Amino acid sequence: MIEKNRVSRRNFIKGTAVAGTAFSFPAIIPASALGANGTIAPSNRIVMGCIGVGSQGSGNMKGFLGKDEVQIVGVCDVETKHRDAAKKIVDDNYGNSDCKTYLDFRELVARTDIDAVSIAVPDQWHALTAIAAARSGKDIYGEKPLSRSIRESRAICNAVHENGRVWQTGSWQRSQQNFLHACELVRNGRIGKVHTVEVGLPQGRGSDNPPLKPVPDGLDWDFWLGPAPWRPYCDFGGNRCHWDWRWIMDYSGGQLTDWAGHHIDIAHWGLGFDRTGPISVEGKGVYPEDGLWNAPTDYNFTCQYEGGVTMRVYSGPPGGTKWIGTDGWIDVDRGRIDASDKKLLKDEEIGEGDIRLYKSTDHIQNFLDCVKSRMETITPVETACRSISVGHLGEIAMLLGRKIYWDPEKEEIIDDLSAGALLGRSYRKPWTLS
Amino acid sequence: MTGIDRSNSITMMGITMKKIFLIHTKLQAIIFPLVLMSAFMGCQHGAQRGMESDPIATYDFGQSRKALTSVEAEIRTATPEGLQAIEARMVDILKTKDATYAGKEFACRMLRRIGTEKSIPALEKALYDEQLTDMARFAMQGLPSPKVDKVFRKALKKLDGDCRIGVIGSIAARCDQGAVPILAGWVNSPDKALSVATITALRKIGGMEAEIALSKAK
Repeated sequence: MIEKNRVSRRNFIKGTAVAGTAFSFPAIIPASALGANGTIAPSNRIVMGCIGVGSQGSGNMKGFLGKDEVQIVGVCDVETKHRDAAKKIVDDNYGNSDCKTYLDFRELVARTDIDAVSIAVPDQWHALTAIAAARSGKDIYGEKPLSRSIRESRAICNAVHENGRVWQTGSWQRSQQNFLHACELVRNGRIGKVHTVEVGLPQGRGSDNPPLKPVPDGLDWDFWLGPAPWRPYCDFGGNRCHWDWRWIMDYSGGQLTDWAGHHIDIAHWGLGFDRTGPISVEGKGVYPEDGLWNAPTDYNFTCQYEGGVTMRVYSGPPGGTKWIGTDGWIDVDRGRIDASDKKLLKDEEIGEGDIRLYKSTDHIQNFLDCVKSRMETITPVETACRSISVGHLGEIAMLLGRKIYWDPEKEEIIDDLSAGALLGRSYRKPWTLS
Repeated sequence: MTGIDRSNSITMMGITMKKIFLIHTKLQAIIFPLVLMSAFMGCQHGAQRGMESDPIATYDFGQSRKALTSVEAEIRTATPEGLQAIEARMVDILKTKDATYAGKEFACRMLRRIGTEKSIPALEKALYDEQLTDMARFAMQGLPSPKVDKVFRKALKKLDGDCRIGVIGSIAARCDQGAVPILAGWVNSPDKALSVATITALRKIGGMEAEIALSKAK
């Protein structure tokens, strides 16, 4: 149970009225404000702010807006048009103009009326925003990958644990029933002892070298870069620096780290590896020979786990996760599930005495339920840490072109100091990781 | 010509030759060192001129990155000796006065991957360049050598403003206990940014000394 530490707003308002503080009510009180007609009164709503409201972030925001128990009161983005567009969506939804906009996430998380935040920012910003939110007492729905480096992942986990926060990762595949079904079949030994798991992620692609240009109006470029190394502005793709930062390694690790929080996460779930990691990683990446986008376009690396399981992570079709055991295989991806023996999918039921995995049918709802109950979500922060660690270790092994050995308990690379140097990243001043 | 004339002629020639020889010797004593010095400076300038024609040293943002990606590819397959050569090349680029910022920052990126103690002097110098200071830390922060800790501690005293805060962040990441006595003095600094960075760093570094320093925070 995660301790909650917030004053019930209903009790606060009640206490204020009893104390005789001047308190004005509107002449006509909307039914929604009183909790009538099936709505949830504002005093019982989870008050949220959204940090990062570009394409992914605004999508998440709309998901929260669709929940009666949520009240979004602030949106934050370093791009003016994102902020303004998000504010309009929120205000239109509530029929008022109450949503505040922020450029600086620190101002949003400093609000004492906000209970939780949704974070969807470029990966170089994940650690600082998440840690600030956790330390400000906010529960967090954080996009995957958890971080841009293994050290940042651990710093986020520490902040979340120390401050007793609820965390949900945007690894929503766990709330899809085919993935749950596949993992329960594997965990209950329906394919025997698993010896191999294959994880197929998308291929990347390269780019040209776009010309430098003035910073576009409405974009705070220095703030967008944040802790990442400085560079002069250029468009990264078709929409300023947005979206396509994913393929530039100062900000993200390409398709590998973009998808690790999906299919590697599922691979771990099926194996029961949510609190561990590989003991060695080696492989090769193909990197663009020219162009601004420098993340690997193709990659293929192998992880060995204690107990003899081999995980191969590769780019290109087929996508998804495939566990191969002594008695068959199970393969799962979005919208499909397959097995060596089709009867497994039709006739095999998970019943009494079997391992039942955490069930969620709505990833956002699961987060909100846990904010209220203080229970752990279906993709808590430690789980996110372990799934992206595989991606980060693969990155290091491929960048250096050699096998690395990993201690998943201590989270250290063994006997390779220069590889160990890549477990963290220094921050551009004045940002520091705490 | 008479025999005396011939003799006098030979003698005069000998005296002249002797004078020429002496003058030549004296001149050699002056000229030879000048030639040596000129040759030495020519070599140095030639080396600089060589670095300046290194495509990394002249690379700038927005240009083709082929020269950069070829270095990265080389790193992936290099032998230990090959890595040393790449490191030396990157250090030379850092030292090249007229190399571009983009070239030097790339050198720092590669030194983050392959740098050893040999690159520390050049990186330390870059630490005091306001433009390069962040990338110098980018290269050094993970370098597993106590010499880096000494460099950062020294920089704490010599840098100020955001540059110093950046170094505090790197010290915190390295959990350098040796820096605690210096940091302790800033826990209650009137400079709020410095005070916050210091307190955050001490919390990360941990240990008895850091705890004592933190207990004095007002």
